[in-house]
Amino acid sequence: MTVELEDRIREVLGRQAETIEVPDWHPAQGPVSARVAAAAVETHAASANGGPGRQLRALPAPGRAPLWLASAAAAALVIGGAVAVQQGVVGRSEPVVPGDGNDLPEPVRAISFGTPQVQLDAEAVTVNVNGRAFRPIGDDVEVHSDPGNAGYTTLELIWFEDGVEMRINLYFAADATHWWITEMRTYDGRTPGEWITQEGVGYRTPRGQAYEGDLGFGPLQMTGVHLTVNPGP
Amino acid sequence: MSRDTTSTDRPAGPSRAAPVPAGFDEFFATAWPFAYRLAVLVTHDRAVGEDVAQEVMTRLYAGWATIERPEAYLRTATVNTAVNWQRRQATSRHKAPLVSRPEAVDPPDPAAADLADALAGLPERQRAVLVLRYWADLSEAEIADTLGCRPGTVKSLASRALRRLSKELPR
Repeated sequence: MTVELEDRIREVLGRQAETIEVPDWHPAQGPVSARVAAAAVETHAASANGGPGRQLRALPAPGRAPLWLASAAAAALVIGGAVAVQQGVVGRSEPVVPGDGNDLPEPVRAISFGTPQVQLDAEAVTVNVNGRAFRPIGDDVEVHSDPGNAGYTTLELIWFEDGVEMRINLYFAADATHWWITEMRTYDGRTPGEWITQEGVGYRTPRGQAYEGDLGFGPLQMTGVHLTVNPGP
Repeated sequence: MSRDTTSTDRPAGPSRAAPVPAGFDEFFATAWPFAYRLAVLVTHDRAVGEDVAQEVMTRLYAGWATIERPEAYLRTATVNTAVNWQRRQATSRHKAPLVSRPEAVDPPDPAAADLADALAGLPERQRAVLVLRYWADLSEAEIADTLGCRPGTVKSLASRALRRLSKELPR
């Protein structure tokens, strides 16, 4: 029975695959649509409304550059172009060589991820999970912030290492005089990844000023950090 | 496959300011149809499958010079992205439309249609294992490498999937 079933599955999948016409496309052209990002936005909205598990995944906000655009921007950076997208900005993790034709500003630290709301510079960012160290290094790290409001914003990093999807989410709160970190999350290095979360973090810093020093929890360690947070009005 | 130099065999259009990295197009010619079909089979949604495959290919294009095993990266990233999309969809309670059933191109075959529907109803990881095993013809070890799990887990996922299909299909 099992062998017969296996043969039937092979046949059905093969016939389904045959019916799938492959569109003419090349990554240099940019994608046609962005439903994956849209689905992520839907999930974000559901989570923000108290959905299952409060899975605040790293997500572009409505109207922001979708995942493919961040990836395309990363491609443009790799081939020497300077790219800035509306809200999602591609991370950079290596110093820019002055005069090399790259118009991006020289980062303060070796690691430099920025969005209109948050700028994170650091000497090193490491996630020690599942028996290995993951580092958001390379031009294909996607960087997003939830624009939030005057009292809330985020910094969300997504990257793949050897096929393992990794994420770091930092959640910020602010009042009239200070901003601080309310929660840090990172994936656990497995596939599919699960969140490891630290709530009520701290690092209270006067508004308009940068936090300087190290930060992190358990598996997530950032050293030589220069972190500025500018929540919306 | 050399990836050390830069190819200029593709014309630079308005949207292509820089030459395609050497070796990428050769890889892309077979990898794109594979990734697209794999993504559609796993997500059961052509439009989302297209987005998934495009996202993965764009990442590969961006990191071509540094990705050591592009075939493995392609498989893993496609399946992970597709499975993650499905998990998000489950969270947002959105039902994805089915990919075409076999009778769309062949004479009606109720048994095949039932099996296609049963496959569509499997949990995402179980379906991904069956697609990798019976469509992509990967070994258990290769599927484990793709999913980032142990071969025993692959065996268990496949076994549960087959058991569920056997139970659901009319005799």
